[in-house]
Amino acid sequence: MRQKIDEETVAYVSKLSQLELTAEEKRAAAADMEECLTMMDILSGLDTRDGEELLLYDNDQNVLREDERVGSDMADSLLRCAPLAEDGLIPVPKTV
Amino acid sequence: MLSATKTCSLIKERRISTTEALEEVLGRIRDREEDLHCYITLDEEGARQQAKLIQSRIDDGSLKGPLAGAVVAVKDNICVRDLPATCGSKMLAGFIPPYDATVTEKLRDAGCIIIGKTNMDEFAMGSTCENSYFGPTKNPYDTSRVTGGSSGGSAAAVAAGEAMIALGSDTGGSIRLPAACCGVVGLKPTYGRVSRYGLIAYASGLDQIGPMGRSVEDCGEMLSLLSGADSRDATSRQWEAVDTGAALGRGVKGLTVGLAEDYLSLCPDEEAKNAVLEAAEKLRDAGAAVEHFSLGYEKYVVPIYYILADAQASSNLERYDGIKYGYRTPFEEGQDFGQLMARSRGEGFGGEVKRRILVGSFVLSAGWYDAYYKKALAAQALLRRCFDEAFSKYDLILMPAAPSVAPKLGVYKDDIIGAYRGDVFTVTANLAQLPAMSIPAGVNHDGLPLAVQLMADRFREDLLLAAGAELEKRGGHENDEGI
Repeated sequence: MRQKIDEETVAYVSKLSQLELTAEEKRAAAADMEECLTMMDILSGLDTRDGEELLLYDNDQNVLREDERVGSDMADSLLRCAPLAEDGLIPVPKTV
Repeated sequence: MLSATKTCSLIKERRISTTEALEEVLGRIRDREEDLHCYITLDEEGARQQAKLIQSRIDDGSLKGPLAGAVVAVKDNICVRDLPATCGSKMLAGFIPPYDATVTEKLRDAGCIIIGKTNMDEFAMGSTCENSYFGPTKNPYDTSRVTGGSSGGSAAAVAAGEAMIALGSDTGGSIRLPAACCGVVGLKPTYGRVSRYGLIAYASGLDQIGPMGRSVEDCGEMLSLLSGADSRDATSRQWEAVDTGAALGRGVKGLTVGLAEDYLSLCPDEEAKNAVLEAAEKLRDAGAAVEHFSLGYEKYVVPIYYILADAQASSNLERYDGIKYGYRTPFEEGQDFGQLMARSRGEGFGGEVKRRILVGSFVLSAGWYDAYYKKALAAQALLRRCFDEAFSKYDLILMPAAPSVAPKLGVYKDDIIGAYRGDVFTVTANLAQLPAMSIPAGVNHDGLPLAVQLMADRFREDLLLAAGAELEKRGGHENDEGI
């Protein structure tokens, strides 16, 4: 049985989501998540034993393509999309 | 202003030029855009250049299609090379895609003039078009009301004559709801009918691109243009093309239509309900056999949808890291990589998007995956089986497109679940991967558009066009001129 969503759960989920929230957003998120999940909890009363996971499409009719090299000379245009780029690189803070 | 196909016929007959047709649209934009805010990006000069080029290709006979010269608005989650694609979000501020979506390439090949990018709920998450970072689009019938969402800018642009036809995307009703609210036709194709390469993903198992137009014929011709397998989208399928002309002239004689009365009973608006009953009568008068039936799962479809959509959104939106494209928070001394990412996302996403990411992450998290996500997938399979049974008896299913006429701006500001529940009529088609169409059905006592919805079995858009054209012919659709 699910516990009521509190700010501790919000902190855990926002960490999973890589989402920094303000203190006010955290408080509101607890109430909002509780409301959304309560609406979703109605599904627990539905017998889904016969249900199979629906495949998104029929595997035998996938659109497959040859595994061949195609034009990939897009470095400049991709760098132009980055909010910060210098000398052909995207600067980021230290990762290790 | 006429429908797109009628205008393009005049261009083909050399009674007007592409430039004259475009200037007519630009005039409408000058008159209405400040009040309505249909567009996030307008490309007037680019459109003028396209119009000249397309006219020369029509003149030399290399462009002959039914939409050559059509002025098209494109929802801002579909990539158009060298035009910003914001998805209605601060998170994608400054992102200018260096490539065209497959549907954009198809528009260009067919001689369509791309006039601009339309406003939308942020990342297509919303039913009113109020969740845009750039502010809401307002309903051309009554600017104190919403357009429906998320493709609200596209719907309003078509309704107001600020475009001849538009592209939208539909994950849980985002083409059909705004079409219903703005009195235009909105067609969500079968999942797999249209390539999504270049569509910025919301929920990949549900998203589909489709047309919004002032007539069923416009939507049919645009559907034909957009359809087809694409090696860049492994979910797209090569299926028998829809013969729009044949479908529009088919009529409904001999077809069976199931009116989903369990869903109809959920409609709180008597006039919206009566519009469905009147559409059933019209189809019966035209030779269809109409029966009332219960489709089932009406209590469950909204929770199923929001579990699946939020979960898939939380995964898809992980790509916005503040590094590769879009918004990046200013650098602070001592900030590490994770903090940069989390802060950029926290500052870049709006409230509704954050809410769905959090709920989606929760239902996918260890300990809750089986209870929510896996359960919803199983329930989705059961719903699909219900539709299979229904389509073994009926060619078409009829139900409301929206619970009411367009609501007032701000009505759902503090009522998240109320807004979600309004999606009950539209999410079913996405969950079952079916084609569905919202068709105008006259106006209510306040002069606001009413609509009905038709659904067909997978890849049977031809039947939607046949029945839609019949309803159009028998009245209820009064927006050929734009308002």
